[in-house]
Amino acid sequence: MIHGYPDFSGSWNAMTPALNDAYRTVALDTRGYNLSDKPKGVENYAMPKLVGDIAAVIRAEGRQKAIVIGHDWGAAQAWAFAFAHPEMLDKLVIMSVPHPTAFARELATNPIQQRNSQYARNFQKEGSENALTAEGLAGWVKDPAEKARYVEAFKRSDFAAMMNYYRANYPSGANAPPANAPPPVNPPLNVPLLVIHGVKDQALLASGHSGTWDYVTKDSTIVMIPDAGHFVQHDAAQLVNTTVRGWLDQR
Amino acid sequence: MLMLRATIAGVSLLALSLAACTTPAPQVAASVSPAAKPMRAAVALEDKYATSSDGVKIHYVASGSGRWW
Repeated sequence: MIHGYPDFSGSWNAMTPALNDAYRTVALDTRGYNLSDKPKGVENYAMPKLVGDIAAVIRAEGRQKAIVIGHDWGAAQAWAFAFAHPEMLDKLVIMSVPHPTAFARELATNPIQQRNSQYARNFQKEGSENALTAEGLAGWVKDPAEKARYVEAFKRSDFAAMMNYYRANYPSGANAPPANAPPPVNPPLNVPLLVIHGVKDQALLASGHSGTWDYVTKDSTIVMIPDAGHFVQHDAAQLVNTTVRGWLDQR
Repeated sequence: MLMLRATIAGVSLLALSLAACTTPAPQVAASVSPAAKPMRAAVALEDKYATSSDGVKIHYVASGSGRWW
């Protein structure tokens, strides 16, 4: 289970007990966050490095393959892992982030997504981390006790590293493809796919998931949750947990 | 007419109930949503580390001993 921004392994505290009576669960602190190492330099946050971290954890657990669950940047990593290591992937659960080819389409053609991605272009700018505080990053967490845990995790994290995910990988701003460039080509996904999305998510619009099924050779399930926003596994925890558990058990 | 409809509905409901009693439950029925499950003991959490190919240490929290992740 791979968290996004701004988040840490604790993002899965509600989902873990919904799964771990039957599944071995593993929640990462991705590099730069909380108790993981925080290497300096944008190049250390390029997607191949992040994908390598997921593979390292699977191997450390003595497994050859895994069900991969990701949210936000964790979902972007999960997509990339699926393309790079299909032999290590059993099933894929994606929260919030469209398939990379579909997201490139949205960035190229959807003016609302273009406008709503301005935050990422701001994050890519030099020194953007200087505006961040642990308390501010935890501002989206509603429960006071949980928020306190988030603040402590963010105090142990590297804000520049958080921004380096955007500098190294976000397909916009400095990383934008040339005008009229063909959409990125990724291998077809050959495992069952579950996508869960909060319809009130303004950073990543629900329309980005349209056509996802064109990139998947197995069954794909897309669940749209009307009253949830970007942090869907928090906003609709019980529904997300039962959806994931039921979907996994049926396969 | 209303009573007739109610009677038909009652018969249909009974038929469904009987069918539920006599039809073997599909395998998926064994997995009840966690919210509906009785309380069970919490599974211990383990703090662990993996080392990536570039030497970066990745912290993770593991739990459970199921067949899959």
